[in-house]
Amino acid sequence: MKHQSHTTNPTEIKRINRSDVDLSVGDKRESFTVHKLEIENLEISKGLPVLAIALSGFTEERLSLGTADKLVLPVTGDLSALDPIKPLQFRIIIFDPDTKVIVASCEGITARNDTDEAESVPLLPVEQQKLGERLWRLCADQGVAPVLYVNDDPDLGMIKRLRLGDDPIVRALILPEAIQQALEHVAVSDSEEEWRSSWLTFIAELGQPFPDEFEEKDSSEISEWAMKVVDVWLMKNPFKRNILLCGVDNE
Amino acid sequence: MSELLSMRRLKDSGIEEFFEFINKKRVGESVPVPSHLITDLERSEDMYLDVKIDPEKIFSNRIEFGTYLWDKIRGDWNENLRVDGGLWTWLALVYFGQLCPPKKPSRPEHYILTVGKWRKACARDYSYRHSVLTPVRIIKDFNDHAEFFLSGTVDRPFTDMTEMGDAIEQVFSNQCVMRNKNLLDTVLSLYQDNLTKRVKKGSMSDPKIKLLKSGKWSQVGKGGARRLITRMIPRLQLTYNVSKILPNGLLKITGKEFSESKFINN
Repeated sequence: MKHQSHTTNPTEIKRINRSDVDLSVGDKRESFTVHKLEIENLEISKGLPVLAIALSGFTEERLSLGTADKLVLPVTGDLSALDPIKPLQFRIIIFDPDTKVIVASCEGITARNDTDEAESVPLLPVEQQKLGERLWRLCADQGVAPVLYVNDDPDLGMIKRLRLGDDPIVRALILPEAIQQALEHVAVSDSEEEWRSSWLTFIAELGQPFPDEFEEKDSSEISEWAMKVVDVWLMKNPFKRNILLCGVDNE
Repeated sequence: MSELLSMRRLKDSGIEEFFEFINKKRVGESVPVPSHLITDLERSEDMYLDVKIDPEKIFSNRIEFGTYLWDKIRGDWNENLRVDGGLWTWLALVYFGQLCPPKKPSRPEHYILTVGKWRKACARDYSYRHSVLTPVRIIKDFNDHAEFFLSGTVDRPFTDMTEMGDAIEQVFSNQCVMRNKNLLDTVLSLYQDNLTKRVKKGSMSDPKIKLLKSGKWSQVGKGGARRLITRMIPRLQLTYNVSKILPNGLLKITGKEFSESKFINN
């Protein structure tokens, strides 16, 4: 049976563009920093309180960013009380202090790492976790953006190998499979979840369709589609060719 | 009174042995409680706290248990103790006889605190289920609501220490609720019995979509804690800064399912 879903916004909450927010997390998930929040173009009353909320599983941490006309940035919040294993997501809300109604928000934000380029928005955030003998695992919990967990053993240096391209073989072995799994997660997730927008942009930029309705969310149909998207992405990111070129250069 | 024990902590090897014992016992194997670990110098170590406990003391419920331990440990309390898996697992072993249900032990996380390496196998943080740490935390931080969390329901009060109770699973497990006074007060105003301070009957039930023989839909779970905490509050959070809304105001915006539920003023 086909189903159709749509997003409602009965209280007319204004959307803060993801690109107007710059938010980063420390390498060990100990703290987060809001560097930038551009809300001048939103037509909202001055003096409304602005909050950043960090969420992980059933835990959350709130951090005041000041008011809409007087933001106090950058500002750093503590994450030590949050569930360390569940995927970390953020929201920015601006609310009416009398009615407590949210007037503007940015939902489902995944943060870049402190060491990433400023204002970059990660499509697939990478976090270090205790994974035992596993090198990596895609965390794709219902309702939240997929996160690539890598083994936190410092001797492995997985973050460095993945992020800086120091190890093209590790990147080539992990990223296509991780992205494929993430795409499958996007396909079965609720269309109202805002974290999907960056993935939908990614898919569109590859010139690939995102089927509005997968027949009964058929898993083989979804896998086939995800594999095709990854194949197209690999044409722009030719891992094999790069590895071979590196090999030739090294000889 | 029996001989008092100085507070100790299990080392990893001791926790592993206790873990294996629990798993064997859960599948019906006849294995003795590894009580030797309590004082084993290889697999446990002294905490070097000036705290002694009575291992033979019998508690009538987890409120009494949590109060006893908190009184003992409060002078030495620091936040590092809260995540000391060896300490809480050692305490669970000391009082295992009173914490273990008659048929078989509960799942390992009820005795072994799931922190550090003991957390990695769990997709979720199950440390709230710990049979020793949670009563102590409730007495320490939520003493006024101890009956709600630790003494069972109005119709079935706990008479020993073997049960955890659904208020722990449905409410205490959710730190967004526990750390927010307005949300916690809303939950208590709906689901705590005014007289006994225990959990109201049926308030923690799992909602069922079931057509009864009478032709009416089952009302189980309607207006209950599970619907409020896992369905309604997350929805409202998209529209309101929920944590700033007082309980009366929150009940108004939750709709009739809650504002006119059988749990109101009952």
